[in-house]
Order: sequence, then structure tokens, then C-alpha cells
Amino acid sequence: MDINVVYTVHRQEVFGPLIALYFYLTGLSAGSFILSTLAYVFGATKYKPLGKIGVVLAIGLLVIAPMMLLLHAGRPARAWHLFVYINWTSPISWGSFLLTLYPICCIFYGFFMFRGDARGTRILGTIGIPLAVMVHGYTGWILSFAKARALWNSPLMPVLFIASAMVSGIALMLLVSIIRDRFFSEDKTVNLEVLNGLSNILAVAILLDLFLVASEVTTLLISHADAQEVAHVLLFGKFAILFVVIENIVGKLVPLVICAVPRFRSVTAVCVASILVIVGIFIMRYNVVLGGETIPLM
Amino acid sequence: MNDMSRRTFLKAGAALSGLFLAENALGGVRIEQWLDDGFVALRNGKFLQVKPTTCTQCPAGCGVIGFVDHGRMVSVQGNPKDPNSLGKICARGVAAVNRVSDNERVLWPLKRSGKRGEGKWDRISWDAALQEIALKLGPIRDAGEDSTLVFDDGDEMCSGIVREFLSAFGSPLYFNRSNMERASHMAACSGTLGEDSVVPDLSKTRYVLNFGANPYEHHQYYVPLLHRLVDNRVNNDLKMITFDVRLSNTAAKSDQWIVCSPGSDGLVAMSIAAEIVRNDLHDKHFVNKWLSCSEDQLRRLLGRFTPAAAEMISGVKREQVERLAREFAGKNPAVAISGNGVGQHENATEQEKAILLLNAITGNIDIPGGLCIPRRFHLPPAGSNTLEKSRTNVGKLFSELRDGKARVSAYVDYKANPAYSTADCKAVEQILKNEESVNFLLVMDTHISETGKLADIILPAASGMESWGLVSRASLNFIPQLNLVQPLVAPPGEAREIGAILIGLVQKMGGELSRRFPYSQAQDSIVSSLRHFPDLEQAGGLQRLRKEGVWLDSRARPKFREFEADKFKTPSGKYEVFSEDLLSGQRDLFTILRPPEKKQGAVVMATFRTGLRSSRNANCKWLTEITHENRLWIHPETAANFGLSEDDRAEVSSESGLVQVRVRITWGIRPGVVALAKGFGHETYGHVAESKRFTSKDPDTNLIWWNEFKSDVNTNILIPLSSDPSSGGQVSKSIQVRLKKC
Amino acid sequence: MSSERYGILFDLRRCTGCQTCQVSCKSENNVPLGVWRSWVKQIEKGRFPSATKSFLPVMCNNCERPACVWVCPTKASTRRPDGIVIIDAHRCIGCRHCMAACPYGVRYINPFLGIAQKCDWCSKRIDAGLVPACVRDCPTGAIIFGDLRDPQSEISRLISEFPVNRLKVDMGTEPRVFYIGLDEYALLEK
Ligand SMILES: Nc1nc2c(c(=O)[nH]1)N[C@H]1C(S)=C(S)[C@@H](COP(=O)(O)OP(=O)(O)OC[C@H]3O[C@@H](n4cnc5c(=O)[nH]c(N)nc54)[C@H](O)[C@@H]3O)O[C@H]1N2
Ligand SMILES: Nc1nc2c(c(=O)[nH]1)N[C@H]1C(S)=C(S)[C@@H](COP(=O)(O)OP(=O)(O)OC[C@H]3O[C@@H](n4cnc5c(=O)[nH]c(N)nc54)[C@H](O)[C@@H]3O)O[C@H]1N2
Ligand code: SF4
Ligand code: SF4
Ligand code: SF4
Ligand code: SF4
Ligand code: SF4
Ligand SMILES: [Mo]
Repeated sequence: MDINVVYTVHRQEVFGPLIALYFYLTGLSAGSFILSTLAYVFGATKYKPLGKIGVVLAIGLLVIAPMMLLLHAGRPARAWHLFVYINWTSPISWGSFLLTLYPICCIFYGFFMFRGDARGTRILGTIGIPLAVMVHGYTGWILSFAKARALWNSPLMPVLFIASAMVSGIALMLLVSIIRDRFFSEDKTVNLEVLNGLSNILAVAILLDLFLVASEVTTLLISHADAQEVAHVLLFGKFAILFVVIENIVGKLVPLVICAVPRFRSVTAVCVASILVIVGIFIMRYNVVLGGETIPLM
Repeated sequence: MNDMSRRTFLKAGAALSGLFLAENALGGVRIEQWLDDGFVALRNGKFLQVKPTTCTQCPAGCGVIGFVDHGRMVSVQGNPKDPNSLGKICARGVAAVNRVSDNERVLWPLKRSGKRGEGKWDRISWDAALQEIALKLGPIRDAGEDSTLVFDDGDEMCSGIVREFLSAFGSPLYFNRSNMERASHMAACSGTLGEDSVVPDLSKTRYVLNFGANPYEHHQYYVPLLHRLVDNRVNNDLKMITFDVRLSNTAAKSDQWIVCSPGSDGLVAMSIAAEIVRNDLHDKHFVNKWLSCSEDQLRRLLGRFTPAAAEMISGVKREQVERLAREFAGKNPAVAISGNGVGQHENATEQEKAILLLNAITGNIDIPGGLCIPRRFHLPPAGSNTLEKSRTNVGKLFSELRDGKARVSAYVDYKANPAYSTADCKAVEQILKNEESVNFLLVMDTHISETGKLADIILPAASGMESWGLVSRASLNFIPQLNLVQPLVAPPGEAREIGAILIGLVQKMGGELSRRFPYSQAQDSIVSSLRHFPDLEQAGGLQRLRKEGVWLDSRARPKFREFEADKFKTPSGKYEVFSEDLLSGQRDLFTILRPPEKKQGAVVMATFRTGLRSSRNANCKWLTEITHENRLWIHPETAANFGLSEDDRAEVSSESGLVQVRVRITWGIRPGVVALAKGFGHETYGHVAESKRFTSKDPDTNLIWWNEFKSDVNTNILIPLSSDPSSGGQVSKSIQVRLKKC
Repeated sequence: MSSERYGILFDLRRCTGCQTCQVSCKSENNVPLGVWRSWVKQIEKGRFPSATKSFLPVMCNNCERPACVWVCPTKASTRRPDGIVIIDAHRCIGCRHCMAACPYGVRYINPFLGIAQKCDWCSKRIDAGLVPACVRDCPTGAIIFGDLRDPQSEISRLISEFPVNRLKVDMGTEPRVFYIGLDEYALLEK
């Protein structure tokens, strides 16, 4: 049937790039935090060098991230309303507590770590892990609660968000620790043990992420009308280059190969892989947020 | 509002148990009611002043009430006491507030300081302005050259006083646009019925054949007519067939949309009439008693209009014609109506007569549910007959001016914009720029329009919501009624109401004129008109009208077929089918009704109005926000022929000009025909009309978002100046144009 | 506990696509340029010469189970006892979560105030015993407002007499805007 919409109004953007950036930064923060706990909570001592960088990054990123939220809100001066008028069914309400508790926890965690108090560090690290998972997971819920937006309205969204947070977090840690070792350490040599270990974890995380993305997109592709439409937008439409090429090929597959195949795993290559991942995951946030709202609702 | 009225309001409010509501007579809808003495109401928790007036945004003249907050216009709604518009309103009426509170109104008299059209102005005082105008007009009158004064009046509601002024002045050329542009329709009505228009009774009819009208989007009687039409369609399954070259909202919502080739409506109507008579389905009594010609003559006249001939020329299938003939004659009452789709062609008068004839031969003239003679009061000054007669077409005047066959000593433009809305507007602009052909150009408008830009003097005019006027629009209840236009707010800056302007001018001119035009304030003229309504005088006169906004004789009942007693107001007293030369075959009706041959390589361009943005409201932000793009409607096949795809830009050219537009490919138009709307493409007027964002007192103007779409062109650039020889009516439909992808 | 439960019915047989409702709302509620509480979608369908056009006026459904209320972090969006979903202008922080959640895209951020707004069936007018502005102005009487719990009300009568449809019922929001004569194709975007 020939159908032609002759008139309808244009719709305001719902979330847009600022929120994509916010999601990205919280993801990086959560990922870094979790990595920093590898040694201090899980006892993987070879990752001890990551502890301090991790916690500093986690805190630093977390200072910037909510600023995006405030910039985006129409009435930032009213942010205190979030703590006074609470709605337990609202992910943003959860988020306002998580975004308060998590940084406090990070600060104490860092404080104990720098003081060398292993017990304190472990306790706070243990508390911090679920907080970090939630602080990023809740952003997934913000999207998944949008029931009419097929790309967002998926139970995979929180999981996918955490997976991608880990991916970006690991990449960031890799990059930062390489830079630190190479330029700021005494012997100016890269700690290959950490590099190899992290590369392995990164490869696994990317695989998991790809698996989730594939489940999401393939399901969209055969699901209801709006879902098919958004899948087409991602795969063949307006977002195809960003989604297929930049996010998934350049941002995930290439780094996956570099990290997983020992032959390619030189310091420079891993460095490049990390940068690709860091950019790729930002594009992923962008694709999810903006791609998810491209299809008008009425 | 002063304390006194607030107190009365509160007291009265308490008496109404806190609610200021009333049940509307219609369907139990609850509506706001204003208190009779206080003129106040509660809206959104605020006390507001409420006054009834009449909407002047289009010729329908709906009764409205305005809400005013400390001298600021807040909003407009329908006046539930108006039995014609039934308390309803349309988008344009609602947006009247935009015009009132627009930031780009002209605020004081301006005098040109550069060359005409250069856009350089000096602000002058009213006194100086009027003095200067008096110095121009006085000599014209004194020299007995009053017929070289042209008064172009775009108003219908507030022009009573204009006509009085003009009759006092002498016999200038007077154009009233609201009627004039339907010149062919009027010529057809007066030629056949002796009336200047007709009104379909759509609330009782059982079948509508609509030729080129679009009442779902606009009409001379828009809201009053639409409400009744839709009610009848939904409640009684009224059948409606619409002929249009494109898919208008009316066509879309009709039972059937029939597409005839542009300009062939009259021919189709004649062939339907012919089928009716051929099959003896006509109303023999009416035909024999009331037609000016004999039945034989009629049959002879109709003889050539066979369904086959109709099919060949119009593309309407013969079976269709046969079916419509059966259906139309079989339903009683039924009505055939016409709109500008018929009324703006070179043979429009004859086309209109053909459609009228359908009503006549089926006996549907002036019966309930048929095509009726308008019921309205004929408002004084009755002596302005000379004016009524002089009402030909501005287009014709401009052709004469162009060819050097006429000269205008002074062109006075009130609420019209000829340099924009007349055919070949660019040529008109040149004519108006030329001081040789138009010695003096005075524009009275709310904005600096395309015409205003050329003026010698611009007077800041009040808008409808700031003016006085008295009108009697044809009633769709068929009981004549009076509507008052009264100022709800004061005009901004130094702007003045037309009555006040003319009074000031007469005072300056003095002498004879001030004796013949003895008013000292605008309402004087209304008061003097009201003397002709003793019943209203008794019921409270102007005071009463100011409270209610409308008045009609509540005891009156509609009377139909008064021609039975009084005869038609034609020379023969009968319904005069066509003029003698056509009846006798001296001129061949069939040839006349044929649409003009298409030139090699040309496509026919139809023009149309859009529901929201057209005459009189370009700077209304809420309307322009919705309708700001004038795209060329084109059928996919036609588009393919010209290599055009959606959103492409096309160059459209005609004898008179050239424009570039974006195309809109649609199945809603006949192949080989394109359509472009009127009412777009302002070059000067105001930022909203021109789609430009700007900073003003209204924060909204910073949010104008539609400037990125630029397909905002004035269709009149493409329309050559030409007119229907039988009526002088402007031709603005079926224009031959050439298309090119650019 | 209010005994009313309001609803709106668009009788599309009457709708001419005139957009009066859309403009009327701008006027009544001071809605800025570029955003809308209601609009009238126009859709062309079919091929010449049987092409046709339909109109779909859209506004907030004041849902029985409103997604917007569910996600609003400050409880600025709430449901009144009569079912109308309102936004507390003093409480809203403009986070746009509600805009993401509403399946109908009827909410917007007021560019001057930075808070979310939407059609609330002119609740202030209703409280004053009046009908919504668009209902009052629609020149063809195509919009019917009334109490769904009152079996005598016009809206209840029409809903039981004619087949009606609502938009996106599958979203489970229990929308309370009803349509007579809704064309499925009118819902499509392209
Ligand atoms: N919104 C709005 N309303 C108005 C006005 C306005 O400017 N804006 N102006 C008022 C005035 S002054 C007038 S005169 C009336 C006019 O009201 P209408 O008579 O309805 O005016 P138009 O839109 O010019 O023409 C009606 C239809 O004729 C179609 N048409 C064009 N050519 C042909 C043809 O050859 N054959 C057929 N069958 N159809 C054809 C057009 O597509 C259009 O849909 O409206 C009044 N109401
Ligand atoms: N292409 C094409 N051209 C056409 C037609 C067509 O169908 N197609 N139709 C023709 C027809 S039917 C008509 S009626 C004419 C209409 O032609 P015009 O009557 O010239 O209508 P507008 O161009 O809208 O100009 C009206 C002017 O009135 C001013 N105005 C509006 N409200 C007020 C007010 O309250 N007070 C004062 N003082 N001024 C006010 C506006 O600012 C504007 O400058 O156009 C004709 N031209
Ligand atoms: S139909 Fe004409 S007169 Fe009536 S409200 Fe609309 S614009 Fe005003
Ligand atoms: S005002 Fe009434 S007729 Fe006009 S578009 Fe809205 S619902 Fe339809
Ligand atoms: S339509 Fe949307 S905004 Fe309105 S109540 Fe339902 S979910 Fe909320
Ligand atoms: S924008 Fe306002 S109403 Fe919407 S969810 Fe946020 S706080 Fe609630
Ligand atoms: S009910 Fe009120 S707020 Fe809602 S669309 Fe109509 S006028 Fe606007
Ligand atoms: Mo007209």
C-alpha cells in the first residue's frame, strides 16, 4: 500500500549526545573500579599495579559524569529534588543514590589503599563492586524502561551496558598502565605480565559484548515492526557506518584479534587496540542512545 | 478590571453557586459564560474581561468572544450565542491573537523619504499625515475626478464606514475583495437568480455535488457551514461527491473524489443536467413555471452535452455522469455547490451558471436542504448603489494601467495587499511603483505589506480585534442576523481604527464632505445603521449588541421559496438559465465551456488555499508554524516525465514569471496537472511570514524553527493578469506552466 | 477518591484535519513554538485515482497505567484520582526520563522553563467545570470529552455503540483516548 505521511510534527530529542557521554563515562568509571579490585579484593596480586590507577580513574571520571546529567537536565538547580521526592520505581531515583554512595565508597576505598590498609581496602572494594555494577547497570534500566523504543526496551540492556563498561574499563586501564610504565616508571618498561593478562581479559570481555550485541540485534531483526525498523537503521541505514564499521569492526573485532592472537600482541598493537576500544565504546553509547530514538513514536 | 466589577462579579458568582457555567443548547457541552453586566469571567484562575465581537480573519464572520487581561488580548473562542457559528471557531480565529499582539505591527504613520519601494521612511504625526492625504484627495474631488480614486478594501466586517465615506466623496472605483474575488460566482447568481450569492442548506440536504469547493478546509462561510455539513454527514449519512483536481481534505472525506480535467467542471455539470432532462428526471413543475426558457429550448441547449462528450473532454467516465444524474435527481433535497475551483477561470461565469442550473432543473432552489437565497440584512448606506455597481476586478484595472489605458490619481488600500495577492503580482508591483500611473498610494494596514512597502504614506491600522464594524453575513439558519465587531483592546502604538482614520481625514478636508459624513466617532455610523432595526433598538440597541455580539429577531422563522410570491429579482422575474445569445445559439455554450487547449509541452497548474495559512494571517505564528512550505503537488508519472523525485527543486515558469519550488510527489493529484497554494512567499511583511528567527518582546520569535525549509514562494508570480470577460473575475486557476528540474 | 474517570473520544468520521485543536491548545496553554501538546497527523494512502487521506489527532492518553509516572524520579508526574496525569511544574527537574518512557511521544521540555509538559486535558479547565479547550473549539464536534464511568455520558454511549480503537494498546498503558474510524495505516510513519 502506498502510504505517505504528509504532516506530523517533529519531535524533540529525548536523550541525545550528552546522555550518551554520561553513560560512557560512568561505564569507564565502573570498569576501572572493578579492575582495581582484582588485586585488592580477589587477590590477583599481579594486578596490584592497577589498583591505584583504577581508583583514581574511577573517581575522576565519576566527578565529570554527573555533570553531563546536570547539563542535560532542564532544571539542574533542582537536582536536590531527587533526594527528597523519591520514586522507587524510577531508575533515575535509584541512580541518584547509587551516584552518591558509589563515589563515597570509591573515596574510602582509595583512601585505605593509599594508606596501605589492606583490610579496609578489601571491605570497601567488596562493597564497591556491586555498587559499580549497579551504577552502570541502572543506566541500562533507564533505557530498557522505555517500552516503545525497540532498541532500548530489552532486558539485555543492563547486562550489555555492564559488559561494555568492562570492555571500555579494561581498555582504559591497559592504555593508562602502558603509558605509566613507559613514561613515568623508573625502568621505563612495560609490565608484560599485566599487559598479557589484561589483553586476555579484554578479549573475553569483547567476546561477551559481541555475543550480547549479536543477540540483541538479531532478535530485533525478526521481532515486531518497530524493532525491525531500528535493526535496519543500525545495520543498513543511517547508523550503519557508526554501528557496523566503527563500533563493531574497528572498535571490537580488530582489538579482539590483536588481543587474542599472541602473534599480534605487541605493546604498540595493544595500545592501538585499547584506543580503538575506547573510541568504539563511546560510539556504541552514541548508537544506542541516538539510534534508539531515531524512530518517531507517533 | 476595576474593583467594582470584580465585586459584582463575585456576588453574581456566589449566586451561581461558584460556577460560571451554562449548558449550551447544543449537545449539553458546558461552556464558559460571561456575566451580562460585568463582562468578566474566570479563566485559569484569573479574572479576565470578556467581550464578544466578530472574527475578521476570513469572510465567514463567526461570532467570537475575546478574553482580555489588563488591556492585553489573551485568547479568543467561539461565541456560543451566535446561532450561525454555534460557538465554534477555527484555527485562524484562534490565531487572531497573534495578529493583535504581533511585535511587527506598524505603530505610527510613515511617510516615504526615498523612492517608491526603497523602504526609507520618516515617522510623521497623524496630523501631518492626514493633512497630506487631504491635500491629495481634496483636489481630486474638487476637480470632479473622483472616479480616478481607487479604494481597494480587503475587509467585509468593518467596511460600512468606508462605504459611507466613499459615497460622501463621490463615485470612486471601489473594490471589495471579499466579494470581488468571487466575481464570477456573483455574476452568475445575479444573472440567473437576481441575487449576489447563494447559500446551500447543508444541514438538511440529502445529497451534495461539490464542484471545486473545499469546505473541510475553508469556505466563504467556513465554520458555520462545516459544522452543519459534518453533522449531516455523520448523523444522516449524507452523500457527498467532490470534483477537485487534487486530493483536498474535502475530496478525501467525500464518498467519492472525482477528478475532471481542470476547468471542465461546467461541462460535466451540463452533461449531468442533460442526462437528467434526457431521462425526464427533472422537476417539470419548476422548469415550466420558473425557467426563463421553455423546456424545449432547454433540451436543445443541453443536447450537445452528452456523457460521451463529457468523458472525452473532462476525463470523467460516461457511466459516472449517468450515475450522478440518477442519484442527484433521485435524492430530494439535493444541492450542487461550487467553489473557487470553478469560479476563477476565464469561462467561470458560465461554469457557475451550469452548476446553478443543476439545482434549478431539479427544483432545489430555495427549499430547505437546497440552494438558497441568502438571508441577511441589507445594511445601510443603501445609497452606495453606485459603489456596488463599480465593483469590477482589480486585475482588470491593473491590466489597463499596464497598457496605459487608465490612470489612477490616488490608490487607497485598506486591508488588501494587491502587490502580493493579485495575479502577476510582480507586474502589479511595477505599476504601483510608477508614479505616472498611480499618482498617490496610501496604504492602511496592520503590517508593512508588499503593497505597503511601495506606499507614499502608510497609516497604521487597527486589526479586527481593535475595530468597529457591523455585518450581516448570510445566515445558515436562514434567519437574518447582525454581528457586531467591537474593539476588545486598544490598537498598539498610534494605530487607529479605520473609522477614526476616515473621520480625521474628513475633518481635515472639511466643507461639503463633512456635512455628508457627519460622524465624530466610529460607533456613530453603527448607531445610525442600527436605527433601521427598531426591534433591536427596543431590545437595547448598541448596548445590547456590545454584550451579546449578535442579534436576530428571535420570533422569526425561516421562510422559503419566497419567489413564489415575489418572483426572482431578474428582468424576467424568472430564473434566467443563460444569457440570450447562448440560449439562441449565437454564441456556442459548448465551446465556451471547453477548457482552453493545452499548449505544447505545458502542464496545467491549479491553485488552491491551505486550511491554515492564507489571506490575512501570514504573520500569525501558530499558523505559519504549521504551514510554511509551498510545495508543488505532482503525480508520480508526471514527475518521472520531468525527471523529478521527492524533494527535488523544480523551476516553474509561465507567461508572467518564474519560481523555484520543491516538489511533493503525491498520488493525490491528476497526472499532467500540478498544484501550488496561494498565501505563501512573503518578501516583506514580518519575520514570521518570512520564516526568519529574530529577537523580540515575544520570546517565541527566537524559536522560529522552520526557516530551514525554503520552498516559500508566491504563486501569483506565475499567474498572468487576465479575467473572465462576463464578470471581470480574476483568473487564478488552470494556469499553463512549464516545468524543469533544477 | 474521585468517582469520575475521564476519557476523550475522537470521532474521526467528523475530523476534517483542520488542526484547530492543535492551535487552540497552543493558545490555551501557552505552548511555545516547536513543541506541541497535540497535533494532527495527515496520511495519504493509495494510488490515484483512489488515493485518500486520513487524519489522526494525537494527544496524551492520560493512561490508566502511565509509563511516564512509573519512571519519574521526583514524582513530579502523578495521576490524579480522576485519572488525569499531571506534572508538578515546581517539582520537575527536566530529566526527560518520562519522555523516553512514554510510548506516544507526547511529552516535551518547555524551552523556556526547562520542565516537562504535556496535555493534561486542560485539567484546570476541568476543575472549573469546563471542557478542554480543543474540545470546545473543534468546529465539527469531533472531540468528545466525558466521564467513562457515567454510562449516560456521550462518550460512554458512543464507545459502546461504535467500534473504537486506541493507540498502541499492546504497550499496556491502558490509554484513555479512543477513536472511532481509526485507520491502521495512520499509525505508520512511512
Ligand atoms: N484558510 C483560508 N480560508 C479562507 C480563505 C483563505 O484565504 N484561507 N479565504 C476565504 C475566501 S476570500 C474565499 S474566496 C474562500 C475560497 O474557498 P475555496 O473556494 O474552497 O477556495 P480554493 O482553495 O481557492 O479552491 C477550492 C478548490 O478548488 C480546487 N481546484 C482548482 N482548480 C480546479 C478545477 O479546475 N476544478 C475543480 N473541480 N477544482 C479545482 C483546488 O484544488 C481547491 O481544493 O475561502 C475563504 N476561506
Ligand atoms: N493564486 C491565487 N491568488 C488569489 C486567489 C487564489 O485562489 N489563487 N484568490 C483570490 C481571492 S478569492 C482573494 S479574496 C484575494 C485575497 O487577497 P487580499 O484581500 O489582498 O488578501 P491578503 O493577501 O491576505 O492581504 C490582506 C491584507 O490585509 C491585512 N490585514 C489583515 N487583517 C487586518 C486587519 O484586521 N486590519 C487591517 N487594516 N489590515 C489587515 C494584512 O496585513 C494583509 O496585508 O486573493 C486572490 N488571489
Ligand atoms: S471561519 Fe473565518 S470567521 Fe470563522 S473563526 Fe475561522 S477565520 Fe474566523
Ligand atoms: S479540531 Fe476537530 S476536526 Fe479539526 S483536526 Fe482537530 S479533531 Fe479534527
Ligand atoms: S500518553 Fe504518555 S505521557 Fe500520557 S499518560 Fe500515557 S504514558 Fe504518560
Ligand atoms: S522530566 Fe520531570 S516529569 Fe519527566 S521524569 Fe523528569 S522530573 Fe519527572
Ligand atoms: S485537552 Fe487541553 S491540553 Fe490537551 S490537547 Fe486539548 S487543549 Fe491541549
Ligand atoms: Mo475570496
